[in-house]
Amino acid sequence: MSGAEIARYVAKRLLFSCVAIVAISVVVFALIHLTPGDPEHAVGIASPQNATPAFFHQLRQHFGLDKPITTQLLTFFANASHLDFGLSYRTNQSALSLVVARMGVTGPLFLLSAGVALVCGIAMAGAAAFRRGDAVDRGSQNAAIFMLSAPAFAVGTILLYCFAVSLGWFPVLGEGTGVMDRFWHLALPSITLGLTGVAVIFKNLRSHLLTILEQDYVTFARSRGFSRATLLRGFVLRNALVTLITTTSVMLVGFISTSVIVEITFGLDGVGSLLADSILHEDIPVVQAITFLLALFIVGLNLVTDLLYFAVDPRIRAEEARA
Amino acid sequence: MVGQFNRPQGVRTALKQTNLTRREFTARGGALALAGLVPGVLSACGSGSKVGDSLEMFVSELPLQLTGQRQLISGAGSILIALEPLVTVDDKGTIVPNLAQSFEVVDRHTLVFHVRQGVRFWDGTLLTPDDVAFSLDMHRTDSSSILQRWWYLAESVKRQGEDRVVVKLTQPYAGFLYVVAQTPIVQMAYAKRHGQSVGTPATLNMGTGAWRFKSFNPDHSVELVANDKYWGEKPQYRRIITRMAADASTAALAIKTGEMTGNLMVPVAAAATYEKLGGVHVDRRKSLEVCVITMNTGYAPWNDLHVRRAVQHAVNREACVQGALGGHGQSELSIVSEQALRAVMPTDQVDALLREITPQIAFDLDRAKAELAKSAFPKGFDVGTVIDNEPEIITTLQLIAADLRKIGINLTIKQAPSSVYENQYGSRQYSLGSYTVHPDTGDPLANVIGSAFDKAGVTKTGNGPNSANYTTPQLQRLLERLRATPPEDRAKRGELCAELVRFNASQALYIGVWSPQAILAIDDRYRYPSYTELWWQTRWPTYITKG
Repeated sequence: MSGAEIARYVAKRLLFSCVAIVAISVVVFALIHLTPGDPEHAVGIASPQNATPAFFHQLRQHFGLDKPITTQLLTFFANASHLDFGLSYRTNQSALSLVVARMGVTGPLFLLSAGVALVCGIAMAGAAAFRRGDAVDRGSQNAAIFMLSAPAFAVGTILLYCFAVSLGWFPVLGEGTGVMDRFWHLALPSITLGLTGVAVIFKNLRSHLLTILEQDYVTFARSRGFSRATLLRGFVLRNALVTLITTTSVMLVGFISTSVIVEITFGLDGVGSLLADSILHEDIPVVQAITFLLALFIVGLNLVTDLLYFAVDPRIRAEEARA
Repeated sequence: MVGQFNRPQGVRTALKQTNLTRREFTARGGALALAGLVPGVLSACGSGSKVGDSLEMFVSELPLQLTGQRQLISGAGSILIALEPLVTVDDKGTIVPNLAQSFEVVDRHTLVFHVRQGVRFWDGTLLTPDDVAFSLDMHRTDSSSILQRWWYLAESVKRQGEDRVVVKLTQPYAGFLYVVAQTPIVQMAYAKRHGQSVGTPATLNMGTGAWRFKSFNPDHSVELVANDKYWGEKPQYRRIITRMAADASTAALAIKTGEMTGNLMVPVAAAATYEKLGGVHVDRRKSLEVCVITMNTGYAPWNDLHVRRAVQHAVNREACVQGALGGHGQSELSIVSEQALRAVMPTDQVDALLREITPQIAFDLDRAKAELAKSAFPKGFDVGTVIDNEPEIITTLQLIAADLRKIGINLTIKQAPSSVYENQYGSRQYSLGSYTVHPDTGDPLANVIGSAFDKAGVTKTGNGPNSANYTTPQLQRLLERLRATPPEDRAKRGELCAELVRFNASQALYIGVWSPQAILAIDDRYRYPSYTELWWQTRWPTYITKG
């Protein structure tokens, strides 16, 4: 497949991605406005005794909520086209900059968690596949079921109690400042979030590895006396890369929802906790900015996944070229 | 082979027994050594738990902007230590001069403040009466300011002469000084220069306090550092952080490990978690906050006094205290807590008043049935209530609903997000309501002096400040007389308050249910003896002591 063909393929995917992002934004906009209740009632009020109708009226005017819904939608798209999602109803800050600032926590959390999930997941799946049916395999499968079914907040609290309170190795709270401090603060949250990914990678990879291990070329390589490590690196994992890439991309999308719980449990100031707060308080500009960026992330992830298929599997390249 | 002779016997045996190669042995040994080293390194990385110059407190509310215009009640606690008010509340609850050198209540409509000379903002410029007048007038004129719920009572705020600021009230309110005590004073030039962006993380604000803002993350934390040029007593702590309490158990663990100093507003449901941890000191205080049941008298069946009285008798307060608060509170008979009554009236008068109203209020299902039988709805009716995410109130409503069912009233409870709750509260569909009412000015009688009985709080929709939607000329006169009575005139204030409490009981307007304890959890090496639920109105860090 030539460079021009890949460029055309990417352009086609990008076009579809733009349509998807616009559609997602419209749906989110509509859903927020269809939700019962008014945003001005969620802004800074403690009880019915604390605010007057004049207070709510001024807020509606201030946020432009008194305008027709179509005007609001058109204004949203006009502004969103140059990445202006307006000011947060609650904090009066630019919604986009608020989200981007939080990416400084959620980004590293995702990367570290993905690292934990990939290293542990591949190691467990490899060990289980090579020792099919024995104690290692059974133990790994049980561990994966535990990781998949244990709620993230419970795992997080147990890790906090063991490693932060009892042993004092890690901090309980916050995201830290500076690279090393942040790494240290994100260690337990990353393990908590990563464990959910370990199970996903293990489950998908193990079954695929078992299929590969039964292939003739693996039997032949074994008969030539290659070590297990060489077999895994050179023959098995290489052929399992497409599955690994697909599973990793699914896992990263899954991290979005689980990260909300992890961030709340560990008191992290990330995008997940911001999204939860913003939905709860109907902070429409922030919700729009986050969903837009999340849509961008998912669409981008799918694109990268597709391109990686090309890179790692010559059969896909050939098929696409034929098509 | 030569190497083997040099190895210790144990290693040789280990290699032999496990069939390890030399490389594998080295790798596994290295891994074991690393595993042993990691805990030590990580522990060394930790900040440790030492009593230091920093005070890091969990709070339940934070400001949305550092201006005083947008925060819930206790959210002001992070603002008022930086943007100081003219007068402040000391640890005994008394109003004392602060940025005002002195103040005078000239007549029932006029307050005069003499601005302290020589006070400088953090940028070195002098505080002027113009800054003060600007700061106060901002809340009087901006209807989106949360403080306008009190500042609407002011007719004008004017500078007079070189050092005086005069506040004129449209109607007498002797407790207005409490409002001034929660109104931050800011630099006029800074506010005008930055306009709408002032008070946001990029443009914090400019005040005169002992601590100045260093960083602000709305909904998350406020960081303040000591102002070494402070005009008053030098700050005891170099750094103060107020932070929203995360997950309850995480917050408790953070105090136990010394990462945080304490939690200024522990939810009653989480009190036991802190007590079990050890190393955390837990203080409980009676509070002025009251959970009330309201009924919108603008709609049937609540326009029928007998129906309201039936509900009043069907509330099992003791069961609610146990069920909803786990016993961490006390039952209440009115919208004014017993604690508040004791703050403004002599003990014997409070006891007599409570004895007098108890028969009209006490839990008695037979009397509830009898009252309902006298009403236009003798067989009962269906009614709804809406509530947001407040577990204690939800449990309370469930307990009350169970008893109401026994007399024929079917109460449907709908849980909804805050925006829906605020919007639909008191509507025809959800005409029974419930919430906790706070003394939001610091005046113990704020719960009654506020808008709960005021005709200005009556609305068509029923979700206004007067949730009962009830007003009469007689009630309005009584309210205005109470507002006009200065706190120093305890006898008259007590008498008027008692009259209002009696009226409320006889008309069954706001049914008091319980008052939760105000709970402080603090690192065992610190103490906060004067802690109350109104900590946010005081210069609270100065009352927290180390050691």
